[in-house]
Amino acid sequence: MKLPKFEIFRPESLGEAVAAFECHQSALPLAGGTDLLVAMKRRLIRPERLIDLTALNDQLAYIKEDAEMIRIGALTRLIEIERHPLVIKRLPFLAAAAKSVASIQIRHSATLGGNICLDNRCYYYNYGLASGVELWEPCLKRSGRICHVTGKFDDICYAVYSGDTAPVLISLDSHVTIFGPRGERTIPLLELFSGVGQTPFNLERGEILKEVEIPLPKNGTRFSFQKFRSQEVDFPLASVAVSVRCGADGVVEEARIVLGALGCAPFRVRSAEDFLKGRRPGEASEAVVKLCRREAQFINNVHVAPTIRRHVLVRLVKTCIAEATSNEQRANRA
Amino acid sequence: MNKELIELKINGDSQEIAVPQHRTLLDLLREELGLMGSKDGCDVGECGACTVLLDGEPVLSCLTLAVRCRGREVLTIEGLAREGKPHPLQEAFVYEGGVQCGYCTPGFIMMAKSILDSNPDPSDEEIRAGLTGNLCRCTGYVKIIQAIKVAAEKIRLSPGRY
Repeated sequence: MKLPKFEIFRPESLGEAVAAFECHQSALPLAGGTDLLVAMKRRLIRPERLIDLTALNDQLAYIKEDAEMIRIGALTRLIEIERHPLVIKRLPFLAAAAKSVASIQIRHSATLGGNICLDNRCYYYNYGLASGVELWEPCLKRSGRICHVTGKFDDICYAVYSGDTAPVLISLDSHVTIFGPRGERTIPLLELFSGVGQTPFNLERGEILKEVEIPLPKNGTRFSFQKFRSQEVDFPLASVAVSVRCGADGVVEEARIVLGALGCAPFRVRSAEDFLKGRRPGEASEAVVKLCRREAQFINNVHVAPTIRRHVLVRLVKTCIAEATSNEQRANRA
Repeated sequence: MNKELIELKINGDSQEIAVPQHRTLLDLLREELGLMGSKDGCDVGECGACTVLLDGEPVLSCLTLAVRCRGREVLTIEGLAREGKPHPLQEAFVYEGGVQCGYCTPGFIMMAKSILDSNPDPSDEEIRAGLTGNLCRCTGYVKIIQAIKVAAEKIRLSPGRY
């Protein structure tokens, strides 16, 4: 498959990049390119111009600690995150999530910003052209009228959010800084996701992810991350990130349970978090699993049947809670 | 078509080439420079057959734009041999039976080189972890891992040479 023709523009600053988006309506930002170029090769998208962000590497590729916060630039490559001593020591589950993305070769190009802003995926959208079903009738995500997952002519797209780092970052209560035509804004990462399959991000035209801020975990907070995939190099088919803070008596004081690849956006299962609060994790895990299963979307939009994902989620949630509440783990290994 | 003049080092030789902006590094190597060693397997980043070393780091040349390699150093399978003699990895793949149809081999060898560059004495587990991004449909991987261990030993015996 050859790439379609396009032009490249190389801005030297964030301001120039934003201005370039305003001049060219179909332009898209190019960071690592490991997902964007594949989508272009498959003719899923056809931007006439790519805004190559390489020149911004000096400004936007860094990992640093300041004021109880770890700041990671959006152009930091995943390989740097998984190998950075500060991340390994203070945020080991972020390192694990970065390491679970695709292959080593891809992680040498792919960036954190790109992984967070990974376009939603669907079996029919991504592989439909090859199997022919998309030629018959393009789906909603390709600006058509039908959803091949449900087979209905309505306006709900079920493409699934498949980023690996976002669930862990949400469980860490991260914020993202976005640079755009109207200046900078910082929002909780969870609010970046719109939950709409076709347009999964609450980003306006010309807005670029600049930085991810991760507060250092409070003493006693423990984490876990589990990802289910059908082969070693694969997008997640279900993933769970959990953070739990227990009191001295072993009762949960604060919990975050985030599910990934089980809906159009990564989301917190607030009912399960509330249920867990004030209880001992061991005795609550069955009920938490039930609440997670109720919130997740098991639908035929990936290459593995919904029943399998449903069974797997039970195991993932149980493992996560057990791991996050086991005595051995010390999240704050200062 | 927008062409750009870029200067890059390929297997030790500095070259100045005019490339269209939408050309991938793989297409540049194979179609314009005649370096057919890097293979065009899946073309979407799943098989690792197009792996090359860019400034010493393994990347997929099918997902790397040629114009983004400006001023950088590319090493392909063609650049491994020294003075007409194959690299220990190439030798070991042949003698240990790490090659069957051979299509995935250049990708495996380049990835193996990157593993050995950072870890001269990897365990089986470390080799396996390093090779997750490369697919081989013939050998079943056992011989490949064996070949890399044999090559690693040879390289350790003559440090600084490879």
